Order: sequence, then C-alpha cells, then structure tokens
Amino acid sequence: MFCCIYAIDKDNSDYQALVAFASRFSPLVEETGGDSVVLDLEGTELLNGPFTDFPGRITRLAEREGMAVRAAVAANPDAAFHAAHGLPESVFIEPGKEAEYLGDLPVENISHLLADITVERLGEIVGTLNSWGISTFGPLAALPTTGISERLGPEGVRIQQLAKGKTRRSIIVKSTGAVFSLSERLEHPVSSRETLLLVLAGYLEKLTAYLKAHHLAAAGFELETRLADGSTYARKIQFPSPIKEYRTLKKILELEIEGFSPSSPVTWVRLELNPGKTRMIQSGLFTPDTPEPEKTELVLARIGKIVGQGKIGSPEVENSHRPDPVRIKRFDTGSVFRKNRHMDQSPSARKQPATRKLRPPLAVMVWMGENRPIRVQTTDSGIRKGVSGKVLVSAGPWLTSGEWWSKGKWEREEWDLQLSDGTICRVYHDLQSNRWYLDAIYD
Amino acid sequence: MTDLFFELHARSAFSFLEGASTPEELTSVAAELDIPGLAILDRDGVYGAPRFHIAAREAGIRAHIGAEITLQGGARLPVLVENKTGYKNLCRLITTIRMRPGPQRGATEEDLRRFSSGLICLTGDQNGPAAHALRNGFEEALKTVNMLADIFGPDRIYCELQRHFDRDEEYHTQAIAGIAEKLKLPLLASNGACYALASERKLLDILTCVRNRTNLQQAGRLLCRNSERHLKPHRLMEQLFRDYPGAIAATRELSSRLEFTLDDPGYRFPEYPVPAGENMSSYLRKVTEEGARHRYRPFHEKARRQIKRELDLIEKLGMAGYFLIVWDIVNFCREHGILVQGRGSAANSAVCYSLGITAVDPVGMDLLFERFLSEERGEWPDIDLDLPSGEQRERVIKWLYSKYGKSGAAMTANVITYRGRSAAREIGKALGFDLSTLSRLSSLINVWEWKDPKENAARHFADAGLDLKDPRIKEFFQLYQAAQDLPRHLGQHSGGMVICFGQLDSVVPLQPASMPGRVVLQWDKDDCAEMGILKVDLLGLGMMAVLEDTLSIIRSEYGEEVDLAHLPQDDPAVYKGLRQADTIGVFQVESRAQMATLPRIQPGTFYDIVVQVAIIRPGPIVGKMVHPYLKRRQGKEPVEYLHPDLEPVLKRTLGVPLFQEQLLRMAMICAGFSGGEAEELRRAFGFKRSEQRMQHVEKKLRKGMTKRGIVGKQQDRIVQAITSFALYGFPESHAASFALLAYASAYLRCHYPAAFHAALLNNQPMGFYHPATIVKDAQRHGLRFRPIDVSVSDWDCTVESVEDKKSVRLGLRYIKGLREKAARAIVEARQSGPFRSIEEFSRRVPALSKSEIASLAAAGALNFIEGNSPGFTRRDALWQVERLKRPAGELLQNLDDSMAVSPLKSMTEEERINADFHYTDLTIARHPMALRRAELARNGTVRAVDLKSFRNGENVRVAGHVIARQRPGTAKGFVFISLEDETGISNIIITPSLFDRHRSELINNRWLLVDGIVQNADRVISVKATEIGLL
Repeated sequence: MFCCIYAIDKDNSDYQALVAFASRFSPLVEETGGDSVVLDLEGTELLNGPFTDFPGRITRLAEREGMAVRAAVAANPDAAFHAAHGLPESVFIEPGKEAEYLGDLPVENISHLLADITVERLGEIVGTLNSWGISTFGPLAALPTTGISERLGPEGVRIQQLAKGKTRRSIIVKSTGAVFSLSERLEHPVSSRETLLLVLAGYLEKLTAYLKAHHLAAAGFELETRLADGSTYARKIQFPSPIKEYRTLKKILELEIEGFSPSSPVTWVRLELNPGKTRMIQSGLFTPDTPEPEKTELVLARIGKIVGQGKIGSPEVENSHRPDPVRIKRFDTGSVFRKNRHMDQSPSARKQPATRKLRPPLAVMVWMGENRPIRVQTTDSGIRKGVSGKVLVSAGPWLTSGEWWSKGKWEREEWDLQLSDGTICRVYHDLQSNRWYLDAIYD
Repeated sequence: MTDLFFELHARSAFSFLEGASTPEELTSVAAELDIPGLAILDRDGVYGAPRFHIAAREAGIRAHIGAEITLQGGARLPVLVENKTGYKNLCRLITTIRMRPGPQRGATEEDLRRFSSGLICLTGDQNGPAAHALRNGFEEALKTVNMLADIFGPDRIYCELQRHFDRDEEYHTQAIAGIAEKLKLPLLASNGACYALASERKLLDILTCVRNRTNLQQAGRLLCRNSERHLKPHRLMEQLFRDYPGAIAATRELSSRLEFTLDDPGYRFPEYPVPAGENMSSYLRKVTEEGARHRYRPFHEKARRQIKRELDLIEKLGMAGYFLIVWDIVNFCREHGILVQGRGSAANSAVCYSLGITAVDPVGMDLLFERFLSEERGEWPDIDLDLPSGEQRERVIKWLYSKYGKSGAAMTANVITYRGRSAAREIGKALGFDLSTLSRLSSLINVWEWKDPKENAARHFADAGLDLKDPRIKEFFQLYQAAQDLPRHLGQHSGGMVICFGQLDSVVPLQPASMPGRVVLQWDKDDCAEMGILKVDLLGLGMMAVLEDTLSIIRSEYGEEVDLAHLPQDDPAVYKGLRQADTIGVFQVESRAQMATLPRIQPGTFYDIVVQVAIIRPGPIVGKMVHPYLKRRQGKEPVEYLHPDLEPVLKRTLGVPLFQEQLLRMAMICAGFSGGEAEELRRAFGFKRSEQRMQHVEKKLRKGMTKRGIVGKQQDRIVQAITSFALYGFPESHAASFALLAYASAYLRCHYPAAFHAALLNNQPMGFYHPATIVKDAQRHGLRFRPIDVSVSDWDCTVESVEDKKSVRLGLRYIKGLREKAARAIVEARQSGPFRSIEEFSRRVPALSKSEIASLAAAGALNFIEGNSPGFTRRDALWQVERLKRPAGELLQNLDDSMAVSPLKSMTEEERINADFHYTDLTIARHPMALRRAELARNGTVRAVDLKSFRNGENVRVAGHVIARQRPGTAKGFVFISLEDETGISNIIITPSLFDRHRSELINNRWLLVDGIVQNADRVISVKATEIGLL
C-alpha cells in the first residue's frame, strides 16, 4: 500500500519539513510534484498501525506540527496521489475500489507528471475530453480503451489508467548520496586553525574521492563552523571551472581559512563540495595554451588573500555613459584570450595620453573666472599626491548625465586642465553634490 | 545686421523615435529663442514638412526643407533643398531608396549623383558620412568629403561642426575643421537638435529604448550622453563656436541661399483626355447636361440655373478636370457593377448629381452649393466616394494605379501617433516596469468616451494601486503626457488616393505600404489638403457591400432585379419599422441612441430620415438642439425662430438648426455673408480652430448682424447657435446621402430579409451589433436560419428556398479558425459528389487541418454527411474526427473502425449552445436566456418584450446578455447598457453613482441581473437601474 501526503497550503508550507515528516513513517519516500510525498507503506504495519486508520492519524499528527495536509492510502501510488490532491478529506481506498473513489474528480486534476507528458499536451487531451463531454475521471474510465488508444494514443491510455486508479509502478526514492557533504559535532573542540585544517583535510579527502567515484569534480565548496561561544564562521567559494585534484582543493581551502582565528573553540563543522562536471577540453590546434585552471585558481586565491576578496579579477567596461564605468569581474579562466578584443575604440581613447585615474577621486577646490576654472588646489590629499596651481590651459566643460530614472542619477561637468605646476589633469564638478574632484592625471 | 544663428540641422519626431518634438514645437521654441530660420532634416523623409511649413509661416521664421539621407553603409547625409529642382530631386531620391527592395536600402553614390542638383549637403554629425569615414582615419574622411564635394559641387557642401560638450565629439570637430581647411570648404555650425527643450531629453531616451526594443536599464550607451541636443539661441551657439566665428555666419549665408519654400510643392492635377474639338470645361458641360437630362425629368429651369452657376464657377477655378476624373472613376464602377455613391459636401452639387457621382438631388432638397465649393476658399473641393468595402474597393484602387502609374498615384498616409494604452505600455516597458505593473498602467487609460471630472490622474493611479509619489510612477506619468500625439510610425489611410499629373514622387516622397504592391505617400490627408494636393477618398463602406451583395442574392435567388435608385418611395412597411425602432442592421439608425429617438421622431418621410441620421451627433447634442427639436416634433413646444428672417432656413427643422448648411445660411441672411465667407466661418470654428481666427470671424459676424439691426440678446443667441454648432454640425448633404443608404437598407431588410441578412452576416464586422444579435433579431422576425453543413454551406452565408420560404444557410466563414482557403476546398471537393462519410470527407479535403476538422465537428457541420447513421450527433462526429487525426498507417487504414459507434453521450441543449458560441460565435438554437427562463420567472425577472406592459415608474427586474456598453461623452457620466434576452433588448440606464459602486461587475461581466424603475415615455422604454447583480 502507498500513502500520499499532500500539503494543502503549498505556498506557505516548507516542503523539506514535509519530506522529513514523511520519512518518520517509511524509509521509502518519493517527492512527488513539489507539494506532496508518496510513501511506500509495505511492511510498516507494526510501526504505523493499521492502514485504514493511517490517513486520519497522519493528518492529525501533521496538524499538531503546524502542517495542513491531506492523506490518502491506496493500492498504488498514483491513485493515492490523485485522491490526496482531489478528494475533500483524507481517505483509505480499499484495493479494487479506486475508480469508485476517484470517479468524481475533474479530468483537469490528472497530473501531467504521472501521465509522463507535458502540461501543454495534457491541456490538449483535456480539451478533447471536454469536447466529448467528459469532465470527470468516472466517464473517462468508462470509455473503451481501444477507442481511446486509437484517438489519443498511448498518452490517452495512460491517462485513462490514471483515471481508473489502475496504474502499477514503484515509487522513485531520491538518492541521498547525491549530496557531497560531511558534518560533525567535534568530540574535542578545536582551538587552533592548524588542527581545524587537519580535520577539514580529512573530510576533503573523503569527499574528493566520493566525487571522483561519481565522475564529478568540485565546482565550489561551502564551509560552515560553529564556535563554543555561539558564533559561526562560514565561507562559500565557487570556482570558474570544476577542480578534481585533492591537493589543489586542499591548498585553496587552506588559503581561505588562513585569515580565520577562532575566538573560541570550534565545536561543529560542515564541509560540502558542490558537484560539477569534470573538465574535458580538447583545445584547438592553433589555440594558444592557457594556464591550467586549477593553477590559475590557486594563484587567484593567493592574490585575493593579499589584496582582499572582490578586488581581484578582470576589469569590465560597463555599457553606460557613466564616468569610469568599470567593474571588477571574477576571472573567467577559460576565456582570458578573448578579452583583448574589447578595447575602447572611441576617437578620444585613441588620442588620449595615458591617464592615471584617482580612485576614489580627490576633493579639490576650484576657483572660476569667466565660467572657466582658473585655479585648482587639493583640499586634503592624504597620502596621495595632490595638485595645486593656476590653470594655464583649459578644455571643457564636458557634460555627462544619466540614469535620470533611478537613484543612481548622475550629472557632472568635466574639465581638462594644464596647471602652473606642470600637471595636466582632469577635474570634475559633481552637479548633484556641487563638489569638485580631481579625477585623473594625464601622464 | 549681426550674424544670427540659423539652426539648419534639426530633427523632429517625424524621424520616428529619433526626435522628441513635433515640428510645431520646434518652430515655436525657435521663434521664442529668436532663431530666424530652421531646417528640419528628418530621416529619409519629409513627413513633417507641411506642418513645419505652416507653423513656421505663423511663427514668422524661415522653414527650410531637407532630410537626412541614409547611405549604404549606414551613414546619414544631411541635405537641404535650395530650389524647386532640389525639392523634386530630394523627393525622388527618398522615393528611390525607400522603394528599393532588399535589405540594402541606403542611397548609393550613383543615386546621389543622379539627384544632387538643387541640393546642398552638410558633412553631418556623428552619424554623418565624414564621421563614419573618420573611424578609418583622417585620410579616409578627407576622401569622403572630397567625394561629396565632387558630387554636389564645391560650393554646395558645408563642413558641419557640432558641439555638445562631448570630449569624443571634439576630436571629430577638430578633424572636420582640418578637412575644411585643407579642401577650402566653408564651415557651418549646427546643434543637431533632436528636441526643442533640454527637458525633453528624457523622452528621447524613452523613444530610443522603444526603437531598440530595450529598456533604460539595458540601453547603456544607446542613450544620450547629456541633454545638449536642444535648440540653442545665437548667444549660446556663438559662445560654443567662439573659435570658429565663420561657422555661425555661414548659417545665415546658407539660409539666404535656400530659396525654396513649400508654398508650391509643384503638384498638378492630371488632365482628363477629351475628344477632339473639346476642352475640359466644354466637355464637362456636355457630359453634365447629358447626365442632368437623365436625372431631372423634366430638366427644369431651377436645376438648369443651378448647374450653369456651378459649371461657371468650376470653369473659373479651373477644376473641370477634377470633376471629369471623378466622373471617370464612377463610370468605371458602374461599368464593373460596383456600387458607388458620393458622400459629404459633394452632395450639395447639382453637377455631381448630374454626373452620377452623388445620389441626392441638391436642387430638390434646396441644399447649399457653397458648402461644397466657393470662390473665396481657393482650395479643392472634397469628393468622397463610398464603395463596398473589401474586394470591390480594391479593384477600383488597382485600376487607378494602373491608369496613373505607380509614380502617379498613391494612398495618403496615416500618421500613427502615441495615444492611450499603446503609449502607456511602451513607456512603461522602457522604464522597466514588470508585466503586472504594465497592465495596471495600461488599465488606467480610460476607454470610455466620457471623462469624469472627478477622475483625475491621482485617483486613477490610486485605484490601480500605484503611488504617484513613487519617482518612477511620477516619471511615467509625466512622460506619458509628453508623448501624447507624437508620431510613432506611418500607416496607410483607409481610402485617400492622390493622383497627379506627371511624377507624384517629385511632389512628395513615396514609400511602400505594408500591403504588398501598395504605395503610400509621406503626408497624411490634412497635410495633402494644406499643400493643395487633391485626393479622392475611396472609402470602403460595409453597408455598400451589404447592399451590393443583397442585390446580387436577390438576382440569383429571387430572380428579381432591384434598382436602388428606383426603390419605391414612402414604403409604409419601412416607415412602420423605423417608427417602432425596429432597426437592427439598418444603416446609421440602429444604435441604442438612434433607437431611443426614432419613436419620438416618428419618421414618415425621407427628410425625417435625413434628420434622424443627423440628430444623434455631438453637434445637436452639445448645442442642445435635440430636445427642442423632439418637443416641437411632438407638438409639445411651439415652433419659434431665432429671427423672423431665418424662417425659410430653419422651417424644415422646426426652427432648430441641425445642419451645417443651415448655419452657413444663417450667417448669410443675418450678417450678409457671402457663401464663401460663411464657409470660412464654419472652418474658423471647426476642428482646427484658432482663437485669433475665431475672434476675427465673430467680430465680422456681429458687425454684419448689427448692420441688419439684429442686436442685443437676439444677436447673442444667433451667434451662440452658429458658433457652437460649427464644430460638430453634420452637413445636410452628407446626412441625405446616408439617409438614402439607411432607407435602402431598411427597405431590403423589410422586403428581402433572407437576402439582406445573409449579406449582412457576410460583411461582418460592421455596424453596432454582433452577428449573434443580428441572427436572434432576424429569428424573432420569423426568418429561418439553417445550420452550417459541409454538404451544403458555402464560405458565405447563402439563401435557400424551401417550399417557397426563404431561409439563410450559415456559411463556413462562421467556423472560428477555419481558413477561407480550406473552406473553399470543401466546396470544390463537393462538386464531384456528396461526401459519404466523415472519413471520406477528410480524405477528399486534405487542405483541412486537424483542428479545423475538429471545429467543424464541434459546430455540428459534419452532422449531415450522407453516410452518417440516423440520429448522428456532434459527439459522434467528434469521436470519429479524433480518430482521423491519428492516421492508422498504411497497413491498418482500410480496416473498419470497430469503435465507429460513439460511446459518448449526445450534447445537451445547453452544451450545444455553448459549442455554437465557442466555435461560431452565434447560435441559431434558442437564446441562452430561454434555458433559464423558468428559474428567472420564479424570482420575478421579466422578459424584454414584457416591459411595454409596465407603467412608467414601476419597479422591475430584467436580466440578459450584455450586447453593448456605452458611456457617451455627452451623457454626463451616465452609462447605457443593452441587455438581450430571448424576446428582445432591454435598455438599461446606469447613473454615475451606481456605476461607481458596480464598476467591476458592469465592466467585466456579460450576464447581468438588473433591478430598476421602468421609464416609459413617448413609446421609448428603458429601465433606470437601482441595483446590479450577476447571473
């Protein structure tokens, strides 16, 4: 016998909680349709009591745990599924009486997943059935199967079998081995990073071997620790291309936790590798060799440790008139050689001298005369070299503005200036804040 | 004189999504900024040139014509018209590139060489040929400019400099200046204005997104870099080009060279070929006289005098050719059996009547010729021809193309502008709103004619759950308003045809229309009128097609010949029907409002129908003329005149002015206006009214009246009557033409109901009612309809005779989703013998798709196939059809279907009616309301037909299917709903407050239950709703 448990308020219910709930009654649980589970009850009578009472009991138990469910027990999983979804109350269906119970359900209730067809095809078939005046399971079940087969094909026959409640199949139990994760409450809390690394390295070795056995590689990892003082430490890394070498992974993990100094002993740890397909690349005959992604990833991890995360990658020009429209994009180790094509082709870019951008720009004071800057002085340059002097030559203003529709709105007026101290620089007036900044120095 | 700056490279919204201001706006801002001359160079077109020309003339600035020409490779070359030759060349150049098939649409070097004469070119902005070449280096740019100088001549090219405070652009500017110096060419400054005011840059950004099918967030560098492409005055431009003072001076110099204006675009109407020894005037006299002798029997003196007067004026104005050409078109129609009738003011002309162009005798009806043509007006008269819509009209258009050549004839354009929901959706999309917000924004756009004063934007937005304080919503609202009426793209006018002597493409550029083989010119009908280009409107009128088809059916099925020109006058049955408002399907008098007036007017003569056609119009309603007329008509109010002198003019309409001709005559009598002056008055107060012009004419009107001793309140009342009426008044001649069609349709409906209804159903959609309502109404009148049957039905509905009784066989056209080609294949297959079974039917008509066969089965069209078993039902057909859709394969296909006998239950009546509506949109079975009548009767719901037994003021409950909802602009927010049941139609009146309470039910539901109070006055019955419910 099979039992389907259906979450009535599927929008507000936690599906994983439903799966966990169901697993208490049977080790064989099928996750069906995103809002229900089907349990194989075979051999669970001693655990669960008589099947006739099971649906009611399950419903009450779930209610106690804050879940609104409807359950149906039937001789096959599909009849149980349709009964749980369509009937108003939880029900036990005696074997052989499936059609009787399901007869009044609308044909629209037939699950396309169980019929193994697309939603669109099911819609077509339901449309045809409606045009025949068939609106519920009962009349559909009563139609001659040969006639159905000739008209709606094997899909129609399958649907009719579902309507009769007469299908035969085993439930499909989700394999738990697909998660490459290890977690453990540590017998002896770990206080040092080195010891932690030893623990993690052990996990990593096991997980890498596990991945290899599945012909997979690690596309990233998640590390989570809980400390004795209640605080947590977590890291999540995604690699541009999957890595299968244990040694490389270990090194990256080591670099990642190098900056981690536990404030109190680590009591619990979890390491999960995200599976990805192993890299199989046949390079072109004339394609230049690229560094091995594993090595590049290692180098990047090392540099990232020095300069800080989010500050390493390749610059990418944004599609915007916004001044300095550059963002840092994580290296795509597979396509480094394609990058050079995207060079700024604008005439000014070709003619401009090398420009040293000041990031962030430096606040300056600008004196104006006849609508042009006549003197510039850095207000507080800190450690950076400021500028100061009379304006000998000026070009501008260059006006840019944009994103008027959003909070990112900007509006600025730029000037290229040659100063009396010999500096050639670019200053701009931020019209939103009414402040002047030194934006760049031309070499 | 100082060197003023002339903007010689602006772009208007007629560059379609590349400019954000109309020509009028650009012109008015230019005038405000003291820019003495402006050139609008739109992309590959002079679409906005007439509007620009007129606006500039009014604003007192020089309007230079030109365009940006797309070159092969994508660069845009700005060219300006120097003289008439240049204008012709520009039009032909644009036509050449527009008409060129294939993707390479731009102008070639050869095109430029061929059409360069009379044109002056600029090197262009960042999209110009020089900038394009500059991407490959200075030398390339130099070569390109040199080539342009070679094509146009070194004195006909200017190196264009633009500065928009853009660093990249400055590189281009310096390079162009270098080229100019090297080639010794003059520099010219422009600002390449794409909008009039800096604030309009936002709108341009939105239009850019629409053009590139993206949104602001994704558009990136497609958007403007800053807001500098607006019109700039001399002072700013002088500052910008301080280093190139000559570039500013050159704008004045170039402007002075551009002598061409659109005062005369060079249009000439074609000459009509006349027999030897005749000229056009003499020939027109001859054919008019011949026609008049046929029309006027006897050809009386009054008609002679009128025709002579008209012919003299036509000759004086040199318009004989025009009349002959229209006569030629009418003759073509007659010879080819195509119904044709002139409408509009042409019916005021006895010459048009004599030539057979119009069907109303203006002499007999005492119509005013000056409404049609006057010496003072100095413009072409308007002759609009009504033709049967569809193929017949196409035949006439094709004949005109073949007669005048592809470059001698074209359809006028219809400029599609930003309006209503489409504007809301496009702007919302560009702003990046999600789909649900987009539909909420679209729903804000009021589709009712009536605009409730309480319904301001804030309320609308709040109703839709949108907060106007949200910056993006606020932005949307402002942009939506700014985009209103901006041109979006060019369409084709439904009927305006322009023909020309010589090359029409020298007068205005032509371009292909979306309909294959059709050519459209770049101006709309108003622009053509303003530019003195004559158009003949060939309007497709559904009712003409119905009349033509009815006559043809009568000929074939009744064996009778009916001549519309000689229908029995004053037919009692026709007038009885009109008086009872039994007019569903009758031309012009079938609407709810018309039906509510017919029993009050009680038409008894043809002129009553003319009044009936004209009275339910905004003019009489806004001018508050309807109720006085109706009261006088019913004898409830004495007939009085605004002035005793006006009695002859207003007598026919019981002292109430109803027609435009009457207001012209009133001005002529009261103020001594000539016919032409009176027409000028009508136009001054018409749609294109200007305050200044109205004041001027009103002053003149009052002066004339004072001179004749009409003063004080009497003068005010007459002036009020004349001026308020000019805007919406309906021409009597037009009403008379339409009344003829109304009478003809009523006559045919009454005496040949089967033929008329078959024709009416074959020409849907048209008129006020859905085919389902037309069928039900005809059934109530005793007409029998026969179901769609593949063994008998044609594509069209046809008439069948059974025991001398005529009935209508529904045509296959009413099967939803059935292609005409497939339907015709059924009819053709039938010629070789009747279908023996559904399976054989399917084999013999392979053109049918699976879904088409299924629809035929569901609609019952396969029920009557010969081989079907007795009592064969739609479900049986559906059961069989579904098997046909899955071929059994060669091996099994000849085996008998063991399951041919359907296990399915027959449809119930309700299911059949549902299937009828689902697959054919109508039913010939019982009305759905009849199925629920017993239940409804139990709760006191009465039938529409029973309403007449209720007294005025009694409470009543009615129910039915909503067949029409209206909220007329003239009805102060009242909503009118027509509810249909099995016995007829109940008219429901909903007050504004009730509508507010039940807005959603009333708008979204098709079956209503209404409690209300019977209003029974003057044989017009309606129910004033007090409560609304759903069925």
